Amino acid sequence: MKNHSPFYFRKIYKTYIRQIYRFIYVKVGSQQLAEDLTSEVFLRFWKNIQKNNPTKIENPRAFLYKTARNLVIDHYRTYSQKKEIPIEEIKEIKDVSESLERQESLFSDLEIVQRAIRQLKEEYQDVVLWYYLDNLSVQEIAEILGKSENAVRVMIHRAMEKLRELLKEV
Amino acid sequence: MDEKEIIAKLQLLNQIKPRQEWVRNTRKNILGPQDRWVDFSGVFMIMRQPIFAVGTVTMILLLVLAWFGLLNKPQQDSLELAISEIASDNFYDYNYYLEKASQTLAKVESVPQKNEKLVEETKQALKKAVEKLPSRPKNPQESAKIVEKVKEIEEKLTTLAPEDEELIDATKELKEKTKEMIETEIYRIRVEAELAMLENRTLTEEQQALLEEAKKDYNNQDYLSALEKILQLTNQ
Repeated sequence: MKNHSPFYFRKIYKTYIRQIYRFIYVKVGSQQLAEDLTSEVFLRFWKNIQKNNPTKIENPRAFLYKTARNLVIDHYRTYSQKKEIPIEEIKEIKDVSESLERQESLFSDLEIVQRAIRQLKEEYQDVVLWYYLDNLSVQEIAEILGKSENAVRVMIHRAMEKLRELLKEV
Repeated sequence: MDEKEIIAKLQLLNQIKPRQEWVRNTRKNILGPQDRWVDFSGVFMIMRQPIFAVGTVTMILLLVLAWFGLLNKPQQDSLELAISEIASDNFYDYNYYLEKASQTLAKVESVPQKNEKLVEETKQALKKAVEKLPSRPKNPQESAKIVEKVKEIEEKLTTLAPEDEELIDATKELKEKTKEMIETEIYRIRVEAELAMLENRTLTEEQQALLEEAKKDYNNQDYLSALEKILQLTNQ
């Protein structure tokens, strides 16, 4: 089975690289960081299928999203502990909390949506992106987050309410 | 701003794509020397050995004969048809049949007199699409795609075969099924939202009992009954 791993990996890589990159990019807002974290996600996936039989990963998509989510959380945890935020980025973070209305003239629709999403709390970001953008089912999201399907439905509903609030003045 | 507009805005995020060069390099970096395609040269080398040559030629000959046998079956005039005969009914989903209906419908106009075979093919594809429409679409985007496709078929029918009763009936059936599916979906979304909101409300015992019944209905996919109970509950 080990000989088949590269083929299996290539298939999964080709199918999900764009989605995972996009998921991370929207959350971190930096191309360099999104590339680094996405590479790490797939490297972990590759190590996992080398170590175990590929068929043991029942849902590779869930595995990838779960890893991506954890890496982003770890990154922010380390980032905030070390307090190594460059001056330019502090300005950028401060901008996020400013009124979206003021940013309308400065940013494109795409940037406004990204910034609004980044203002949501972590779990809300995840469910919105997974459900509405990456077409994950409620069941899959529940599996990734380790929550009940009902809880996920509530989260999706609340996340959309919050997003509506953030975007309504734009 | 309603939910549709927010979803439309979220779709803008689809524009975000990784750099192709980075995608290639990352795969190479992860796989290292294993990042190469299957090398079939060894197989071809073996097939060229005299000992395997007769077997190989016989096998190719058999495959060709089998292929021609399939293609020469009555009423099979294209590769697509031959393949669709081989594949089981369960192989294709509603998308395939909607697309097929749309394509064969477009061909109907290109022939001067009524082409019974094309009409039959379109009718069959429409029937199959009705059979295979999902009872519950995966997400709002899937619903939107189905509605769009059905609308496209209906428009084509109006322009290309407006008097063909058989096709009109088949399209009508597809439209009805789609409408039913969308209505159910709307009820489902409404029920989910209502249930989510009710989770945080303090309810009387009677209301709590109604909520439990509504949840049961929801789990049994009887969204209309669930909604009725929720309305009853909120009016108390």
